[in-house]
Amino acid sequence: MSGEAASIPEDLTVTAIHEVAIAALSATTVGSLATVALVARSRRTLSRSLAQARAGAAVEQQRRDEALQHLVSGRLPSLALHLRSDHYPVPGLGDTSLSGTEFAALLDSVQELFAKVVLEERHRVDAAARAALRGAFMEVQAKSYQLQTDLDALQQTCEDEETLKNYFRLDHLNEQLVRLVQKGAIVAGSWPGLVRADTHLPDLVTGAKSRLHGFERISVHSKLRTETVGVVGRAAEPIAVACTELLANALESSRADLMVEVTLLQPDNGAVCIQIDDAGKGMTAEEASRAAQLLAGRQQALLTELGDPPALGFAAIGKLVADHGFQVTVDQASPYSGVRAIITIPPALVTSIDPHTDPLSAMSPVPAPAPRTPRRAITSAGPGAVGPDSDALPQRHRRGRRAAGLEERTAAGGHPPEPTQARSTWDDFEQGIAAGRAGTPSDIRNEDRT
Amino acid sequence: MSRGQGRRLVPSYLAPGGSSAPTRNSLQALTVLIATGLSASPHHTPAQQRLLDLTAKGPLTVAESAGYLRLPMGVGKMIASQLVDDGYLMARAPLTGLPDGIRTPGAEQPTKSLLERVRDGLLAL
Repeated sequence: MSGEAASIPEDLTVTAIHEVAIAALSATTVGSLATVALVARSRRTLSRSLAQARAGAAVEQQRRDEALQHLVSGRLPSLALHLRSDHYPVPGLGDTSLSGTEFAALLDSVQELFAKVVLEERHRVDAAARAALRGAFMEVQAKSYQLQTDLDALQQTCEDEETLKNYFRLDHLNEQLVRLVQKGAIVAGSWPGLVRADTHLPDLVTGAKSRLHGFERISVHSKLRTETVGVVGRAAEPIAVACTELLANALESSRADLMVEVTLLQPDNGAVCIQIDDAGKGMTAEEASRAAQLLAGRQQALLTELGDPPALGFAAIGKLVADHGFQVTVDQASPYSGVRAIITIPPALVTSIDPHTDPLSAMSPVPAPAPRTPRRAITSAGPGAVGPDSDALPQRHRRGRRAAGLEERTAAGGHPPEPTQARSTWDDFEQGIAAGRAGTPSDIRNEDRT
Repeated sequence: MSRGQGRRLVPSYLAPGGSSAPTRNSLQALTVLIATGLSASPHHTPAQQRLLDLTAKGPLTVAESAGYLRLPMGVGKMIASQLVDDGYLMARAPLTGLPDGIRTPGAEQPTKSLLERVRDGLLAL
């Protein structure tokens, strides 16, 4: 404005000057007024847009504050719960107007970092807890094995019945202790703690049964076709542990007066199955799916996920399944309305053991008698034998019976007789018969049982 | 029981079965067990069934039966006592000191020649 006032011309007459001054002044005034009006208008616009911008920024700030507040007080605590159990939902951003912005991405990255840190820390703490447990359990397990050796040695020489029963009680208690710490050690990442030689399957199941309180309720039936079925050494103890845990579940979930039926089966595919049927109350769908997840052994179960008190059985089996390659299923119902658990031992883990050099334990189930087949051996035994359709008089088959007895004894214990040895044994036997009929005392009977 | 040098798998306390009443029998190692003709029933433990199978083939001493079953002598005695109590087995005292009337089948005094053969056999091992 001062620039416009200075531009007034000076070389005009007074009137002219006056008029011009008036005209100029008025023009200037009009111009100035217009300018002032324009400036004022633009200032208004400016301040209005500034106010709008301020208001927008305030709204934006408020949205961000709210989103941040929502993250701190809503999303992260929910995420923490969700990481403990999938049942808890995690809310989203909340204000959709922020979605897609850089700010929203930042909030998401905070959430991801939070989850990552929580999970990493959980695994670190769990690994530390497992290491501590593993160390403690394995030491107890080693001591319990020493105790087992000592108790077994005492039983070998003890002949007093009462003392022996006391040893039995202690031995059984110790076996239960071994089972508990061994299971814990396996869940904590340890190996089963011992390697066995190739082991007869019936012995393995009998050994598994012996580790439980209430083993009298477990009845083992062998439907194996031969007495040679064994489990390779490296898988023997793991399968025994898995079998023990399934038997323990069967005992726990069925009433104290109900039997648990174990059947050893040999399907045609070369595998061998241990089938455990209980008459308990069965499992709910949720329990079954949880069990299937643990038994698949695809991921290491965390101690914190196993409940309180921790249910270690299925987790231990899952670890053994993953390490040794046998299969365990519990998804079928038993014929007695409970659960049917099946351990399937693949052909790679099955071996053949000669029962003559390496006999089964006396405590293993007695093998089922072979299916009845027509006794063709009698009809073709020799000239003295008589077929059922023959007209000849019935005759006693003492030789046949005696021979059958010899075969049974051979099957039960010693080696199959050599042909020459068999002949001499037979000759001795014939002589013994003759001597017996002649009424003379004979030693042959005593010798016969060697 | 313990096969080879591995750790024991099947403990002896499975042999006599569950809670068994104390038996009044005092069997000795050379007591002869004779089958009474009753066959094993399902409530018998596998070890008891195996002992009954063994004695069904002829009388047998306690020591021998424990040996066949690979059980400690005390455990063999225990299950034999149970079966004697239940009437599945008869027990005959060893021959020594008995009147002639009570002769144990299969437990006659060994002859000198038999003892010599046993000695030779043992030395040849």
